Amino acid sequence: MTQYQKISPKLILFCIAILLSADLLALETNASNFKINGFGTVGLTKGSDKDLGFREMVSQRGVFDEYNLSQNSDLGIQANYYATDKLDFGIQLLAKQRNENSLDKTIQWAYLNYKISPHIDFKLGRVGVDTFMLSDYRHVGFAHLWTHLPTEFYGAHPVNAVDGVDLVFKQSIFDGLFRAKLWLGQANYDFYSKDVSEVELNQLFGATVTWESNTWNFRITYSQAKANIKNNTIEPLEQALQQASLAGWPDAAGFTDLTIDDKKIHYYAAGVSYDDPDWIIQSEISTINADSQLTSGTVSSYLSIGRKLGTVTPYIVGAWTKSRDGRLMMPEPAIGAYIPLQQISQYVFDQFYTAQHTFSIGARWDVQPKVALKAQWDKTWVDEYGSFALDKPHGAIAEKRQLDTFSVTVDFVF
Amino acid sequence: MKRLLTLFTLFVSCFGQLSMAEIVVVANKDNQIEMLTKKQVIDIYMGRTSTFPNGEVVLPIDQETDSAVRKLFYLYLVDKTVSEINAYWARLLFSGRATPPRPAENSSSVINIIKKNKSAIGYVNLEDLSDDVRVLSHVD
Repeated sequence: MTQYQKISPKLILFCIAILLSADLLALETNASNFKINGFGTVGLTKGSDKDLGFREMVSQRGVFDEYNLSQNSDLGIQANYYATDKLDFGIQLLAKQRNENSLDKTIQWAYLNYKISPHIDFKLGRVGVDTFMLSDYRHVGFAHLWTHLPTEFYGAHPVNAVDGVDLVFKQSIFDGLFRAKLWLGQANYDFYSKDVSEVELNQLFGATVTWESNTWNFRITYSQAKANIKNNTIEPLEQALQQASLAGWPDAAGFTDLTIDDKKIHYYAAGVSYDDPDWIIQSEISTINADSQLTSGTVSSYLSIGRKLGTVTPYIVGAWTKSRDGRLMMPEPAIGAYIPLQQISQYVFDQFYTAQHTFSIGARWDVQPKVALKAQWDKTWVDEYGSFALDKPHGAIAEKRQLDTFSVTVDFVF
Repeated sequence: MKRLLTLFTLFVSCFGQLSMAEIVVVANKDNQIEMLTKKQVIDIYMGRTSTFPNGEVVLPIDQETDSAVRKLFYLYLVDKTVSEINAYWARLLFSGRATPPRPAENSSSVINIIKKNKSAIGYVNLEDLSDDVRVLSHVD
């Protein structure tokens, strides 16, 4: 089990050092082609349940019946160097609470960008991917309306970058910008569930097409990857079931392909947003299909409606997610000795089952041009065993649960 | 209605009278471009293109973040508040998609930068216009 750590002080020092050295460099060279920018959030979250912890992403530890100041707080620093009109470099570092804080996890992107033509950009390195509308700026609280992204939609896919390449074609069409983007690479993230499993996505390929005007934004995305999950429970369980299937429990033979090794995952997503001087409305829908016995994937969606009243924007959000198939059930063994094995199997299956929805109400107040204050209350209904997106140290819960999550944030950019 | 009221307040506070504020988009005198349409100005200032219509690289210069002229410029151009524009650029900048226009301190530094750089364009209030630069577009 990996020890869960707070934001490392070393990391913060490192970020400050980078910021200072960059400042000095800018002063020394008066380099207008070198830029430092940053963003951050100070967020307080209050959960309500002792067994189910609220979280935005499955890579995070949850917030239980407690006040938490670290889960939704972060600090990002980005440096861009524009070497020529055609070539530039970018790096973004993000200090945040993680299961394991390393430089590798801290680097959000680090790329070189080459403009092949005014319409075509090529990036190489660790590059952002926008599988969903907010994926590649999910940590920039100031750039979105809510205190956190809808867990039901964004929770299961924490990936916001790949180590690889991307190619962007953009063209101004009608009153907006048409943009097509392809990416290819590799990514990994932690899946935090009692113990931490590392999820590796290889041969991650994606394509997204968007059209964005001052008011409208339309997008569709397809992405696929080969998933590997390194978990200490699944492999021995699979072997035990294999042996049991040969020794008095033939039904167990139907559950001997549990390991997630090079299992293909397909992502399909569509989104639309409308943003005029009075209203800000946004919706996305996605289906994730997995060629795995443990989970065939999920269908998720959300709708957010905000009304702009001067500097204050009250909003409501409805979000839901559901496993494409029902809960995977382990049949009763004929031999009593196998009952513990059946229970362990069921416990593992239930880790992957999702069925929950949330209604949220909140407001964003633009206190200053670069500072926003937000408050949000979420009411979440979790079906029996359907808590995949939540942190559940005692396993999935057999009965329905309701969660109240209250969060406030101060978001800023500089 | 809300935006109209904001505009009204801005007129009164900025100019002390109910005259129509006019902002001009300006470029270097040696720039080959004759004029820019409102859509072309939007494309440049919203990061949708990195070139002038003739394919030459463009270097857009912005006014100081909290200045009145910046507030009016984006309200006229795309009907968005300064906070909305800042959030828009936070999205593009921190996802690595585009770089916001480079900010200058005030109108005279906008004009100074443009005087020295053939690729630069900027915007100033009509009354701050000088003979050192050429007008490409009127925004109102």
